Amino acid sequence: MYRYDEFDLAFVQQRVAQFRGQVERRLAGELSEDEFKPLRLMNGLYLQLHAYMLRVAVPYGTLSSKQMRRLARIARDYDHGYGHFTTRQNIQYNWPKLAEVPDLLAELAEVEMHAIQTSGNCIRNVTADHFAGASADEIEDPRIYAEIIRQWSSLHPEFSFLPRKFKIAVTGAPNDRAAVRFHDIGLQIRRNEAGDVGFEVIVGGGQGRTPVIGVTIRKFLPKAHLLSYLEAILRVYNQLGRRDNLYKARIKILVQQTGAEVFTRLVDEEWAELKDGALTLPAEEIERIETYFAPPAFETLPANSPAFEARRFEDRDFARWVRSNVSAHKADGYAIVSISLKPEGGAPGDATAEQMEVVADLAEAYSFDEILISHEQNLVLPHVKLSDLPAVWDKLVQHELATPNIGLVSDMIACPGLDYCNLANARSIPVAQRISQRFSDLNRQHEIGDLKIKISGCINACGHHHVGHIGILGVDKKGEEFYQITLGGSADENAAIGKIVGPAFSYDAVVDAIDSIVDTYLGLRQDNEKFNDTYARVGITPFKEKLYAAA
Amino acid sequence: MPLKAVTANRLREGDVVYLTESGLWSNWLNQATVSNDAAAQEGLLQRAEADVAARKIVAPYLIDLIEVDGILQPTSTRENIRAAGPTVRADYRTAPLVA
Repeated sequence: MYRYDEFDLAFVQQRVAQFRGQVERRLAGELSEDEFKPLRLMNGLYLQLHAYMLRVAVPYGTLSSKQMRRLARIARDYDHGYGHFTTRQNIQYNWPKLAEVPDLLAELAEVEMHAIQTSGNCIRNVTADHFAGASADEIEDPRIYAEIIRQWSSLHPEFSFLPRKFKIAVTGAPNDRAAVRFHDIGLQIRRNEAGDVGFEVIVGGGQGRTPVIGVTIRKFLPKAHLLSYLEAILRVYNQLGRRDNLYKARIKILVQQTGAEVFTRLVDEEWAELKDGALTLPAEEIERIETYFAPPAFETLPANSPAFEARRFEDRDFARWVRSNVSAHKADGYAIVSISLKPEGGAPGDATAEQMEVVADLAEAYSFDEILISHEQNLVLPHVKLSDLPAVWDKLVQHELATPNIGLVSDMIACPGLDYCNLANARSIPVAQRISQRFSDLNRQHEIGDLKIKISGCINACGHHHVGHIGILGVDKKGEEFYQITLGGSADENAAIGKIVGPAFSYDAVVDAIDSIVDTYLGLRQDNEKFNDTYARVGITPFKEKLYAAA
Repeated sequence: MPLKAVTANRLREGDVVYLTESGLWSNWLNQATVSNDAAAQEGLLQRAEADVAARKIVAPYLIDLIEVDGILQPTSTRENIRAAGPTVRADYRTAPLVA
């Protein structure tokens, strides 16, 4: 795991001290709200519906047990005892007090964490595959490059006031778990024909009011040129991206307006100036960062564990959890454990301080002290021995962390929505809660199989509704909450944007509508087809007919 | 003209508050001072702006209300949620809207 060097430590501590001074000046009246607001936003502090909200970055989603324990302590001491894990591998605290935030940030700095660049028109927290370092389909650990990008983009003077926010995701695997086609820049680690490892560079993806699938502007970028090429893209965007219209300011609009070909040429022209200059990554520097992400000392184990197999044979609940929440690991005798933060009736992504501590303890005891946060708002123990799975499960069960629903209908992404967010038009979380209650029969969920429902409370699409197999978008109709449903979206390597199925449903009717869609799917699917395959085969009409039959 | 009150957030703590008759800021909507007169509503907002300058609160604005059996209720879902806390975690609701 990456450890701060003296530069990281110094700049994070400086920022805490600087923000402490800014808060003092604000409270003393030396700074007006208009002057203070951009300063607090640079430190991840928003004013939301009920209170201030602090967004803390979890770089590329990786935490040590010590860091997770600190997040728990902060939830307890500075907040209401819980935190909310977001779709960008951040954690949000919903109730911090302004006067206490400097102390909170100092506590974060002690464990090498911060809230810098979690807001504002800058390069945000760089995200990565939540199975990084553990999955067998990985070419290289994406966090090595996410960390290099983090160092380059942190307090980058030229890119601190971009036309709009800028999000980068990296995956090292062909199975895309990081939604790289829906980021401002997505990097997919690839091997070229010569066997060299580099990056496919995807630009201009995003969701929001204009969902766009990113386009590949370079099929293979050698590692040494990663930063110079990113810098070239950012320069073109910084110069040409629109600043006159908030809704047209993201890079996706620029790429659409110039066209991918012209955009690529502009980047290449800029790159010609930068290439082979100071930003060239020396192989030794890549190796230095790589050592931080060296695989832990896995034991040489047989591929099977009799104790694990016995428990799986005897205990149906355990077996069901293994089926949905345990994934194949690259090392024999190990497994990846996904911890669901989507219990029936729960708020997706919320974890209590106690739950965070349980996960920290489990990581320390069974997963080489490592925890990953998924963009789907779950937690991951990346390196658990098969023989330890029963013990891990027993502990998770005790703390309502063993819901066997990863990838299933109740494993929904939901934004905070109108329950917390100043921008929302409708609630998201209670819709998710009611859907999870409707599908409370876990055996039925397993029969339905992989199905991704994603819920946003407004068109900004923080709940990723555009890429849900079933997407739900909350809208305001004359002061009432309504929900528009889309079908056929996907955030993985088969990237697709969902299509609106028809008129929106009321808050009361939306759960029945989801039920109807699932029923239609089950009635039509052939040979365990996935939802999007059935949808692609039969089209939207059968879903529509059933949904609006009564109307 | 609908009934209106002024809401804001406390500067230091961030919690949702309402301007009261006496000029204090209360966490309970039902203690808000209200008016259905446009000029008086503007006056309430001006008092609030003075408290922004005095660093008591931030981001004040007027909200629409109705009164039902002596209980003030916001007309919008958003303001109902602001007044009562998130609808999703009963354990963290700040105050019941209707006792």
